[in-house]
Amino acid sequence: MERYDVIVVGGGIVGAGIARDLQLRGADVLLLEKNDFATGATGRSHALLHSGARYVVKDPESAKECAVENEVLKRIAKHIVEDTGGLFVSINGYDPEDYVDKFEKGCKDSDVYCKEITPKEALELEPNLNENIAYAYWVNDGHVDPFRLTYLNILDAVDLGARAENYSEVIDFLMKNGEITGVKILDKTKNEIKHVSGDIIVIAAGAWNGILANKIGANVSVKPNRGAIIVYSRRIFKRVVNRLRPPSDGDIVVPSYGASLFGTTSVDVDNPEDYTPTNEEIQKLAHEAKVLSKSMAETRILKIYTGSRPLISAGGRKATRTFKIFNLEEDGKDNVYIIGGGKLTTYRLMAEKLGDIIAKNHGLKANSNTDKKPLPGLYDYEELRKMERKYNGLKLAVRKTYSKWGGLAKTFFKKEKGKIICLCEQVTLGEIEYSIEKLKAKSIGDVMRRTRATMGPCQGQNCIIRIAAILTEKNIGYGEKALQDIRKTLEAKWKRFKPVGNGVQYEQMQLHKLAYRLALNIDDPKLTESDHNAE
Amino acid sequence: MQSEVAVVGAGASGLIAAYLLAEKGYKVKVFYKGYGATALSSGCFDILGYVDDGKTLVVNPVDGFDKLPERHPYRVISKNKKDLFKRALEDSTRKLDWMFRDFLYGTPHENNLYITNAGTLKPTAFVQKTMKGAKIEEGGEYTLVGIRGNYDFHPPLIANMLKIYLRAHGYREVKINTYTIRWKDITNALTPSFYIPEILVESKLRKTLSKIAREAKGTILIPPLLRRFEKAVEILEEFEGQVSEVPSTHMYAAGMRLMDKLISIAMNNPAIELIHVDRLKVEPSNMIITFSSKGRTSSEKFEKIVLATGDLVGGGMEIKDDYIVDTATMRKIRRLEKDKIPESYFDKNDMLSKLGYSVNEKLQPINDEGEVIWENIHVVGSLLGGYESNVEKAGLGVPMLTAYNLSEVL
Repeated sequence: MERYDVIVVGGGIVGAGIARDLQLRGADVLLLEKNDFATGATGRSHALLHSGARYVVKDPESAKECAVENEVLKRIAKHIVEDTGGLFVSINGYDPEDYVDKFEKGCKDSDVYCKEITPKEALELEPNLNENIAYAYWVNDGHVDPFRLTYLNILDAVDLGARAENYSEVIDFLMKNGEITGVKILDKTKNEIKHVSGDIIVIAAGAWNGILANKIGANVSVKPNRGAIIVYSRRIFKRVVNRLRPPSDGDIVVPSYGASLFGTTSVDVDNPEDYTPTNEEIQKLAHEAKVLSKSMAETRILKIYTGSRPLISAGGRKATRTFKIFNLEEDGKDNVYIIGGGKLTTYRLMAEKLGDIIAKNHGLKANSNTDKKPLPGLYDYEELRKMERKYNGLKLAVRKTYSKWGGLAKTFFKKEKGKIICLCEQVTLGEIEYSIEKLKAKSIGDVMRRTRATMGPCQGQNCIIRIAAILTEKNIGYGEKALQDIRKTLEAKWKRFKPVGNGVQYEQMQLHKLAYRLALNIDDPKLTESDHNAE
Repeated sequence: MQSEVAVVGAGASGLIAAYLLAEKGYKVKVFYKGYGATALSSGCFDILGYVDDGKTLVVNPVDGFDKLPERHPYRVISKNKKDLFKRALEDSTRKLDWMFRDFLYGTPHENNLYITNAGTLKPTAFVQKTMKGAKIEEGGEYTLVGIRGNYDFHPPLIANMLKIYLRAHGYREVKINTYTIRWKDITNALTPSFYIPEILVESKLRKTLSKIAREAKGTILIPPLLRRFEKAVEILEEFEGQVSEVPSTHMYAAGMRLMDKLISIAMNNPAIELIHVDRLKVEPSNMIITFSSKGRTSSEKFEKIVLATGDLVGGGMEIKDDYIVDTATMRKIRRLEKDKIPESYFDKNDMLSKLGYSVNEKLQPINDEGEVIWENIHVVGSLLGGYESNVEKAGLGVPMLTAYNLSEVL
């Protein structure tokens, strides 16, 4: 039976950060994720690199942490953070004036940078804003890509000797004499059960922590809370824009590549996979959009997506006020750690704090230095210019690829692999093959998360078939599942479009269906359920 | 200045209507803005593929007539009589013989299954002559020719998908082989792309196809790289059906070839005038079309106006404030009921069928009470409601037959 020093259950940003942190401290780590990496709260987040300003009044502890980690991530992950800067604006007649002073004082008390600017200056910076601004502040908000942040943590850990597997679900824990000695894994791609032993178990499964904790009889209660985000198909603002008011729904717009992410909402749910947004959530967001920006209310909506915040409700000891680490020593399971709560922005701090505890208890290196060690693929302006000159006919593709991967792009961006597969997002064959060969992409959705293919204006109309073809070529065993995967991808696109179906996007989806259903007859009624699910 | 008939829209329905009306002695002015669904289509003439909400495969389109809902354009134009529908189908394909005999392959009485570029099987009545070898026959043998680095026609993916579709349709003895060539076997270009047809080198293509024809067995199926490259079409004909391309999507090849054919027929007809416009508005109350073309705005009055502007894809409809609007007249056709948008991409109850115009047997638009809205305006093609092209696979059948019916009733 395989043996690891540490088995980390949960492949979101926290699990990935922990795997890297512990591998840096000398442990031999196995990271297990039941779906694809970063498909829980991580991949459904607002992609916001918090300045901390949002929390200065209601949660100063969290604000302080965000402010510090904001700087750290801009250093160690420069190439996947877009340092857009951010604004907080108070809209006349909508936002309470008394919050403004509290906000400014809170920023000072929590060491969060904010600088007041005039409404006129704010409108010059962001002309699409509602012109009726009472107060405005500049803050250090930014955009961080949660997918690549996760993959680069995993890539670094694997380069140091760790092992990471997606589509590997921990279905139970192995016990011996009342102690937990390992995990029972379902390998979903091969449909095989495997047993692996581990000295230390870390459960970092976010909204699924409760389910896993149940299996070992631990008292950890998770109360998932759903948030919805609408994706507009262009950059409405150059910077992150926040409402200057007590945190509410529909407060924030984050520019993300060629789109704008607007959210969010807050709905308690029982099941962390209850992802369907309600009409109320959509109406609320539509209303707030109109208040914030007339232009936004008239922009094409690409889709709506949701995620479950993994809120820990009760139980266990707290590490800080913002996230919790449970160690089950009372139950004689002192080799098991459960970590929950927290934010995308503070993942590194969470991983470090847990790493410190595990290092102390189990004799690993005292420091991981993750606040100093950069993630793979530095951003170098000169290098980018050189690449642009070298691949003259593919300049736009070079720029887009470099903005996603930094220097790592050099390893897979080559002339012979320069064919553009996804025209909307300028994704080359080289990048897609890299995502399959080095980053464990096993489906069209996996390729999409790593490369952004199918995320552009045409929503995969042209490239879904091509990606299926590349996967067939590169992945043994994909061929039989190609039909199932294509259908799954088409259905997922529709599910995110349907709640906000209107206008230009409705037209685009009709064209999408003409291609796959009319021209390709992919919904041939002669196919049975078992045909759709392949062999 | 008074002309006789204005046709708005130069897709399949508009250009076929223009041709048939010109044959009848009308003078026709065709206004067009840009490309719509016809140019993007697979270039095949689907008459009727499925009925019963897409559940039953139709072998003879005429036999499917009985299962069509009353509002379906096929029913409306044939006064609910199956034999009238049959006659319309036969007569129209005869009157359009430059298309159905010279350009397409098939018969109006039989749907066949064709291999597509994704490895699916598509039922259709007519394909372009360059595609006839892609028809699936029991006991047939096919060699899929892939180009290394081309993922729009990828034999490994196609073979995997075909396995499933052939089995589902009960084909047990079809043999699939694969063959790979390189881009430099057919072009001199360094970074080949389907979007630049001129890169194909005639001599290289002929040489490579000859080589494959010698070495490979069965019907050789090649990627849809022919685009508007007429020489390549001639070359294929030299191989007399041994080499064939496949119906495909997003190649903008066969659809564009179809457009070329329709446009050249219109351009060579002295009774038809084609006018490109940047903007156009139809005023039904006084039958005036106001349009701007080449920087100048003009207005003209017509005796008859035919709306052939297409659906959401063609640009004939758009969604404005929750209503489906006819972009030529700006009339609100119907309300888009958001809660009726289907839950699934594959749902057979697609809303679009309910959203286009309802018409009487003269193709005059009627309201919910059945009253004629405008007497001298007629609607053809996918601007009509009552049918769902995605589900029935009747994409070009409805444009053709409604255009034909128009020429009979005017």
